[in-house]
Amino acid sequence: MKRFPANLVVCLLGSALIAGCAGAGSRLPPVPAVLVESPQHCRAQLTDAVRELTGKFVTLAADAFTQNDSVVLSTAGQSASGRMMPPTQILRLELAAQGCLLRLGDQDRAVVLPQCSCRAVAGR
Amino acid sequence: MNTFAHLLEDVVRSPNPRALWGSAAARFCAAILPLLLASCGGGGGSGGGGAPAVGVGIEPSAQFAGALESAAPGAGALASDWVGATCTDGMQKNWVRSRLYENYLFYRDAPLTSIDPNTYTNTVNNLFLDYTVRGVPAKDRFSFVRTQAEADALFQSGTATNVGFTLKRDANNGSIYRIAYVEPNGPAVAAGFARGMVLATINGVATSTSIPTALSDKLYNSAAGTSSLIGVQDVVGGPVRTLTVASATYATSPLIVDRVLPDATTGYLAFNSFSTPVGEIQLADAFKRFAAAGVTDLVVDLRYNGGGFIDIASQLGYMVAGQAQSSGKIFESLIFNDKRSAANVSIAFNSTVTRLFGNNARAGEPLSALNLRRISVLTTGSTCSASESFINALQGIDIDVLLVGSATCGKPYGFIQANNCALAFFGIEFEGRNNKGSVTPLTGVPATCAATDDFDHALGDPAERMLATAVTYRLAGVCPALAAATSGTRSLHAAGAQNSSAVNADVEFMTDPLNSIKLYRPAR
Repeated sequence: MKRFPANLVVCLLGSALIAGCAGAGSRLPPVPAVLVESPQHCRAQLTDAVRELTGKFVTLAADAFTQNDSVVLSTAGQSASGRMMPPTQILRLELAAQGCLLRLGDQDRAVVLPQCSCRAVAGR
Repeated sequence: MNTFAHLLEDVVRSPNPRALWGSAAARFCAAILPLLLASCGGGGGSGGGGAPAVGVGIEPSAQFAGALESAAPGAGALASDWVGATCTDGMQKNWVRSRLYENYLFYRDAPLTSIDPNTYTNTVNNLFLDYTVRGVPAKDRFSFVRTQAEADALFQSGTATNVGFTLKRDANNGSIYRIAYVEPNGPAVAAGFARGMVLATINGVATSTSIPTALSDKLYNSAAGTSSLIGVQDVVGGPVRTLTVASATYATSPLIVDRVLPDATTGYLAFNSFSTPVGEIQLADAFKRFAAAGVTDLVVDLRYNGGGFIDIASQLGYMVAGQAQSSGKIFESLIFNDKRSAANVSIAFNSTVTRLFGNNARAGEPLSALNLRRISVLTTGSTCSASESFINALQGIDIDVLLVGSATCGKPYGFIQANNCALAFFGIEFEGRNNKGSVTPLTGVPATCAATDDFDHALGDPAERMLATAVTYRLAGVCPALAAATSGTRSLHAAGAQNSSAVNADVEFMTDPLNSIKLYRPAR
């Protein structure tokens, strides 16, 4: 049986570990996040992302996602009832390997926000 | 008897057992009657006759429901989103009747059999109203229908696009419009508006007693940036000066004031909406401060609170009552009609910050409670829905609730939006009951001690008439003589448009149930 040089074994193992670490890093689950700042181009991208996720135009407050990772959406009809059950839709901002993500509820689908800068906040 | 067993089984398993019961009963009678007649040696027939029973011949709504062309998010708002063949006039009218028969709280009272959708010549909207608010006027003054586009308009909960002040009529001064409160984050603050100002003019048009719709829309229903020139009087009869304000999108702040009164033991908070997620945190922090200050008495000012999330109202209830008085008790049970009792749900007094409203960083945090046996609540006709749930819930666990002001709006019901063919139908589907099973009266919860809004003093000022009345009543145990006129306030618009829509809907609906619902439409 052919024997491999020790340095080659170390090199291969090391490479495998590094590759494994990199892979694990890219698979880290997204974490709750808030915006570092909220410039106009980021807010415009947020608005587009909300439209893509909900199918609706939604006016966001200027400080949306700056204090909290979540934004609750309500409908006019829900509001008009005056006796509202828990919100049906919550938008969540997340930080992942790709950068900022906007997700609707717990859906698998999320929209990447390359124009926005995020930082992680306490878990939900 | 095998036939009889099958018939019963059919009825029990049917998705529409009442409808099936008619045919099943007929088949049963046909099968059993000869036997009965034979055994009795004859007998008379029990006649049918009379009005048909509710539900006979009404097919399941699923048979008439419109089909969507697409399952894309947001679909349904346009007529073109729906398959035309499933949205014929006849299909829609039959769907309305069947849907109400299945879900409407008052389906037994509604004229579902006397008004035939197949011969009804007016519109679908009118048919819905003929079955509900016009059909059951003694019980229902709230059901309504709008376009799905209007009802589905999404907004960030807790934001508004308007000028940022709320107008109310001053009953003590010829029902003139005065600013009731100014939103802390809205544009009106920086523009110099304050509570008590008289709305003399908008863009040069006199508006102190009447505001044309076009001008009120300019303030409350226009795109951000829409500017108006507002003439105000700082005091009634004073000189008019002009302020400029532009509509803007801002985060509403439902907690307008929280303070400990000069007696150092009475807490006061003015909370204007249960619809805003941040309200959950604002209330939690206010009660933390009250508990730390040793507050032993409380005045909750809900005079402008038209309702909102029941869960936030339940948190407020818990913070007043505390664990010992609320543990294991029901804040509110939502009771659906007898065909949908499986949907009934009971909401507890919530003792922690929830995850329901996105306040995740503090989720699970225990709420501070004052463990009070008695509180005072300031109310008007604008105190509605979830605010009434709060009052009713406390009464349901034997908290002594002193109501100071005027009767609440009287809305113990809730809706679940039902979409069909680009229309959104809001028929009453459930009523709220407290721990004792009591329901808020349709005439509203009457005030224990009458008092009117006092626009000449700030909210939370001990001299403000409603607050002063509450404190005096609390201390003396006797309602002080009312110096001012007797009628309450009536809302035109509230700042925080999506929240105010609930206020306005409830209050104005009572006077004009068919046309007065104002739904918030976000500026684009």
